[in-house]
Order: sequence, then structure tokens, then C-alpha cells
Amino acid sequence: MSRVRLQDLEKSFNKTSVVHGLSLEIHEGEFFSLLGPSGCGKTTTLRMIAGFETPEHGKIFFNNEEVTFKKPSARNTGMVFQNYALFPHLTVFENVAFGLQARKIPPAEMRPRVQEALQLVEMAGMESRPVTQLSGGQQQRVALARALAIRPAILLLDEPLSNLDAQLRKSTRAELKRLQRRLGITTIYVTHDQEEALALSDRMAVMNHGVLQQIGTPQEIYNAPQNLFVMNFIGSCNVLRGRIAEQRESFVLVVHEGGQIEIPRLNRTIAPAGAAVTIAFRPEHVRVTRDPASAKTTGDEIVFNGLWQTAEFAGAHWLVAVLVAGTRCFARMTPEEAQSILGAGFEALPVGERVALHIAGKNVRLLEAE
Amino acid sequence: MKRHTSSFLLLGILMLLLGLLIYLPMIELLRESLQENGRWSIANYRRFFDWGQPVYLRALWGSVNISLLTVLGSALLGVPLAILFTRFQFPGRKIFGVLVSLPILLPPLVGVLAFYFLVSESGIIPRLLQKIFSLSSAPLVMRGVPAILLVHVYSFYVFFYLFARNALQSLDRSLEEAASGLGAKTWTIWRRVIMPQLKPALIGASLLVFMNSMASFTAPYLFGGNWRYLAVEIYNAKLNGDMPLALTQAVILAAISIFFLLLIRGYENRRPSGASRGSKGVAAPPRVTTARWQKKLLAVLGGVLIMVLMLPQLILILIAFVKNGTWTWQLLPEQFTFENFTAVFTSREAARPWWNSLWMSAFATAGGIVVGTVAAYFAAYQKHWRWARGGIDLSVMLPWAVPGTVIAIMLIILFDEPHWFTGGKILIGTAAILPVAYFIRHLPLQFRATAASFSNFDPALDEAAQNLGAKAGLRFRRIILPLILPGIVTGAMMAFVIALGEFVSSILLYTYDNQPLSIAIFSELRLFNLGTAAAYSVLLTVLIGVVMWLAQKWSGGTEESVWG
Repeated sequence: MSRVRLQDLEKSFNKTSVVHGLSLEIHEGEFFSLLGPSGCGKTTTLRMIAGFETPEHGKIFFNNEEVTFKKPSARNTGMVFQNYALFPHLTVFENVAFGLQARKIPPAEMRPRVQEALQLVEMAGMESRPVTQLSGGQQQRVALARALAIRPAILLLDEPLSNLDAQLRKSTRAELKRLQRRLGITTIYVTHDQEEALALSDRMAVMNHGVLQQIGTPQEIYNAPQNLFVMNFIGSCNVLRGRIAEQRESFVLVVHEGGQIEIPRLNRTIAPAGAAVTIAFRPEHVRVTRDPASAKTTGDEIVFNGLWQTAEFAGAHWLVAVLVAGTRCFARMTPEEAQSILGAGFEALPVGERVALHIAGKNVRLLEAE
Repeated sequence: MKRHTSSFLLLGILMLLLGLLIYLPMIELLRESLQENGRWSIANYRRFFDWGQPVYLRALWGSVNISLLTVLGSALLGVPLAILFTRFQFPGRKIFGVLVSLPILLPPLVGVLAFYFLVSESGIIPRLLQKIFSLSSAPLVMRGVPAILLVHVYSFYVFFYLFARNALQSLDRSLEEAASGLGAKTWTIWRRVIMPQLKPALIGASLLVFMNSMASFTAPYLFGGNWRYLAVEIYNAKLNGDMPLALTQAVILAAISIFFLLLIRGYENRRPSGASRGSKGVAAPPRVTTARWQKKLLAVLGGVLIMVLMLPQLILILIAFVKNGTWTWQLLPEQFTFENFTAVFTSREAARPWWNSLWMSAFATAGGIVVGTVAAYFAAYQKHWRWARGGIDLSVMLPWAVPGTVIAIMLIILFDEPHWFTGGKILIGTAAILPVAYFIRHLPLQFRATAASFSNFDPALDEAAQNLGAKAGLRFRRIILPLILPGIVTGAMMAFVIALGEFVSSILLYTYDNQPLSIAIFSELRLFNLGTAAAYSVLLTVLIGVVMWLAQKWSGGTEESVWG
């Protein structure tokens, strides 16, 4: 098992920068995700770790050994490709055995190791099948077995679930996690699916336009996003524009277009007075009440007055839209909460009805203005 | 970068080879054509472009005229056939559809021979008509331009057929449905909706047929009579010892061919791959003709057409069994024998041209496998030297455009003196020159088939193998080679069989000791051993058929893309 350290990586294709100043460290045995929209440089980063691309600048270390210019075949990483890249002319067994043959493992030792790898992914008994006759899910398993059979120091996964249908993706995800735990192998997982990254990762890095945005545990990323991009990319958020009016000991006073609010400091570093900021909060943290008059900041709660717009039924929850100082904000409410404002029959409120949004102070983020 | 040194070395060798075998002969040809008495001069070209005495220009016009007529005739035969076989459903459609593209596989010499037996002065059809209608002289005798055209159209309509068929098959049927929904009648739909979409395919086929027709040698050579044809005039000039004229004409013909090659390539690059992809169309299914009489009519029509198209081959088969020298004035041959076939296996003399052609083709093809595969790798797969891709592709495809006659002249010019790369030997007059000529002429075919395989090869497979720890040798052997092998094999088999019947450059380059099969057929014809000539042709055709069938099985049908 290896530690991976990326140091100030730079990579560009045709003069467009794809990865820019990327430094991060992946711990031994960790499940680490690289998350971001397409074109954010996550796959290029993975390919640099695998050795298919060489950075123009910066270094890559496995443990304390620099591998920046080492051949891919000498890095001992196991990679699962997005399209699996199974060798179409070989059987399941031959695919899984390929890496062992390349390592000149004697046949007597090879067979049990292939078996073992196939058992790990529950594909034992399929050895003689041509891979072209397998289903997508089975091909994915063979690709994983092939990568694991060489007992790699690092497992690299390039969106391995993206070609599976939704149902299969969820069950495979859970299996992948179990397997990784069991083997304790350092795993780097590239995905654009925030749900996958949150569910699987020990830690994750969010990237955009080749630049690292934030790195941390899924909870840290979700609960304390460092910037608007991360907050928007991981889940959804409401955004209001404001300006810091005053810094107090335990809270900051922020004025926005609809009034002013007091936001608890909670040990966070906050821009100096006068700075423009973005007030951001997630729909699932918002509670809506119909009584704006009685709405005042109690304890750590922050209240915005707004005008009722719509309420949409979305199955497990209701999505309520409210206009706060001209900006549309959303609240995600349980059916019970929705019932408490809409009444037993979920009748629509008249558009423009005065309502209040309540958010716990710790759930309101003050981010750098865009 | 250090890890690519061996690749770079290979690229260097390839470029050196292409330089020596493709560019050096071309440059030598051009240089020699611009010399007179050891000094630079354009006298040769003045002589060719002499408007006062346009003897040589007439040969150029002769070629252009016939080529234009060939394009027209091929389109008139090929396009309706394509419509028939894609738009209508009738009994026997599938098998007819395969048979109809066969003439392209026939070596030009064999095709010409078949038509010679069919429609020349002593051909069966004129004799038959003379007998039936008791005429004093044989009617419908084909010679000169009509005979050339007949052979050309017979060989080249396949280009129009294949191009138009592929275009028709990829048409988006919903466009026609939309047009008919808007009230357009069938004729309007054809004129305003279907034909404009076929235009790229038809232009492509026209350019290809024109280029092939300009390069054609065998038909004008055997049927031409007094008609002057540039490709044949080159041969005549060389035979008459007027080398400067041969060179000059070769340069002009090569220039025209290369111009057309560039035109075709430019055209291919400009048009979007595949037909218009505006909507998610379903491939048009063949229309099921409902009325039974329609079905029958179409089946009969198709059958008759196929019979007509197969007639040349059938005649060859008939004559192959005729005892040599027994068919002179009779309407139909009367004495039949197996001798013509058995001789190949019993007589050493008869077997020699077969062995010659077999080993020379085998060597040429083996060379083509190596060079074609390396070239295809650099042109269609590797990404480190992108700049090299287009250049290699164009260089390797050049011999495809340059007529065989011109290639032979180039080789004569280059190899009639010793060079360091020939080990200080003169290759002209040795058995080595024909394999070299075959290799150069058919390299494009092998290259294209292999390049097609390479472009279908997913680079992620190679990366996966690298990731699993495989070094370059193992990756090539176990992953890349098995997956591109179908392309290599298809290309090699086609190159091999075409080389077996190669006539155009053989006639300029062969020596008595390495007389190839085509020359043997030709000599037998000259000696009036019609049976032997026909039997050899039939054997060759059967061999070609078997090899192509094997190739088809191997590759799952990529050979059409090679022709395109």
C-alpha cells in the first residue's frame, strides 16, 4: 500500500491549462475521490498518477519515491477504465491473468491468483467466457478483478460506475466500498457524481477548471464548503448578496437587500467590515413559517422575510419557492412541515403572501463574493 | 523523450524507405524528363505540348475523352443497380447484390481477355449473330473506343454501385417521409430530396473512376487499335527506345493522377463522415413490392442483369476447356479437353509462370505487411508525432494514384544504375524488380486495410496493458497485433491476389527468367493458344475468389472500405 503525494502539478493540452498548481496528499489505505465537472482535470490527474501523461511541472511521489517520469508499466498501479478496456479477444481468465503474465508469474501460481481475484468480485466460474459476452456489470467486475490481480499498491478508478444503470450503480458502489475496506488498498476514485463521492470517500478533493477547490472529508465538504462553486456542486444552495457591516465579538452584522442579519462567528475567518460577501444556505436547512411578524432572530436562528411563490410536490419532500428581496430561494420541507403551512389539504398559498425563512446560524455560510 | 527512442528510430526508417521507394523515383523521373543531352531543358515538354503538331497531345485527349465517357457509362449502370438493390425487395436480392460487385475483383487482363472472346472480330457474339441472320460479315464487332468503353464500364461501374449503395443505405428515411407528408410526389422527392444527398457519393465515385480510367492500360492496349491513349503511348515510346518521350508522358500522366488523388482527398475531408446526420434516422429498409408480378419482374430483371454481367466469366470457363488450335472458323468450339488445366500441374514449363508469380507476389506482400503495418501505426494510431500522420498517409497513398505504367517507368529510371541501397547492383533486368514494383503498387491497399483496423483500435486497451505492467513487446504481441490482424490479413490477401494477375507494370519490367502469370496469359493469347490463356485466367479468378472469400470470413467484411 502506498501514500501518494502530488506536488504542484501542471498540465496543459494545446496551451490550455488542464491541471494547475495541484498539490495534495493521499494517505495509505485511504479511499480518495477526485470530484468535479467534466473538463475539471480530474481524469488528467488520474492519468498522470498512472503515468499515461507526464506533467509539465511538478512531481508525483508514491511513498517517498518520485515516479513522475516512471513508465506506466513500472508503477504497479491497478486501473479500472471508464469503458473497462477489457481485451476483447481474450477470455475472462486471460484478461485477469494478463498482468500476472507480464510479471512472469509461473503458471502454477497464476491460476490461484486469478481465481482469488475473480472470487473477490464474485465472478468465479466465468473464467472461460469471452469478455464480449458479458453484461456491463460483469465486465466492470472483470476489469476490477484484472486490476486487483496484480496486487497493486494503488487502485485507480476512472468513473468505473458511469456505464452502469442506476440500480446496479448503487449496489456496485456498496460492494466496491466493502472490497476496498477489506483489502485496505489506497484507492483514487475519479467521478463527476457528487453522491458517489460523498458515499464512498474517506476524503475527497473538489476540482474546477484544473484548480483544486477544497479537500476534506465528505462531511466537511458538504457542511463547510469553502466557496460557492463547492457549495453549488455538492448539493444545491440559495445565494443572497450582502456586505459585512460590522464585526462583533460573537457575530457579524451583514446587510443584504432585504435587511440585516446577525451571523454567528463560530470560529470562522470572516472578511473585514465593508467587504462584499455571498450569503449561502442549503434548501434542506430552511424552515418556512407563515408568520413574519413574530419572526425574529432567536438564539442562533437567522430569519429572512419573503414573499410566497410556489410549492411543488417532489415525492419524498416539498420544494417551496420564496422571493427574498427579489431573489428566488428554495426550501426543502418534509410533508409534515409543508402541511403546517399549507394546511391539511396542501392548498396553495396566494402568490405574494408574506412568509419567513428560518435557518440555523451554523448553516448559513458567508462566502467570498463572486 | 527518452522512452520513445525506438519508436522514433522506426519512424526514421519508415520515412527513409518511403523516400527511397516513392519520392526518389518520382524525383528521378521528373529530373530526367527535364534533361536533354545532360543539360536542363524543357524541350521534352515543348515536344509534347506542340500545338502545331499535336501528336502527343492527341493521346492525352484520347485518354481524357474515354475517361469521361467511362465515368458517364459507369454511372448509368452502377447507380440504377444500386437503387434496384437497396430500394426494392425481390427474390434473389441478396445473392445478386453480392455477385454484382464481383467484377472489381477481376484482374484487368482477365476481363479484357473475356471481352476479347466475347465481342472481338472472332468473338462468339458477332459470330452467333452472323450465323443466325446469315450476314456476310459479323455484326456488332467491338474494337477501338467502344470495346475499351465496354471493358471500362464493366470494371468500374462497381465503384458507382458501391458508393451509391452505401449512400442510399445511410439515407434518413424520415426526410422522404417529411417530403411526402408535405405533398411531394415520388419524382420530386427523388429530384429534390434524395439526389442532393447522393451528390457527395456520386462525385467521389466519378473522381475515382476517372482516375482509374486514366491509368487503365490493358483495355486500350489490346483493343485500342489506332486510338491513342496516354498510358499506352508511354509503353510504346519506351518500346521504340524514345525514353525522353516516355518520361515526359509519364510525368504528365502522374501529375494528372496525383491531382485527382488530392482532389479526392480534399473532397473526402470536406464532406461530413456519413450522410447528413440531422436527425436520428432509421436506415431505410428495402421497399417490399406488393404486387406479385412486380416481384417476378424485378427478379427476372436482376437475373438477366447478373447473367449479362457474368457472361464474360462464363465464356472464359467455356474456352478454358477448348483444345488449343481447334477453334478457328467454327461458330462454337467443338473439341474440349482438360489439358489446359492439367498442364499447370504436370508440365514444368506451364507451371513456371505460376511459381514466378506466386513467389514474387509473396515477397511483395510480405514487404507490404511490414511496411504497411508500420506506416499504418504512425499514420492512424500513434499520437506522439501528430505532424507525421498526414504526411505518411499521403505518401503511402501516392502509388495508389500513380498508374502502373508510370510506376514501371519510374523504376526503370531509378534502378537502371547502381545505388548504395541496392547493394551497388542494377535491379533492372533481374528478378528482383517485379516484387519491388508489386510491393510499391499494392502497399496502399495493405496500408489502408491496416490503418482501418488501427483507427478502430481503442488506445485504452494499450494503456490497460501498460498499467498491468506489460512492456512494449508483450503489448504488441498479445494486444495490438491480434486486434489489427484482420486488417493486415485482409490487406495482404488482396494485395497478394492482385499482384498474382498484375499486368501493367509487369509488361514493362519482366525478364524472360521471371515471366509472371499475366505475361504468360498474354503470350499464350498471342500464340493463339486460347484454351491455355483462358484456363490460366479461370484458375487465377478462382484463386482470387477463394482468397477473397477467406479474407471476408476473417475480417467480417472490411474489404469494401478498402476500395472506397
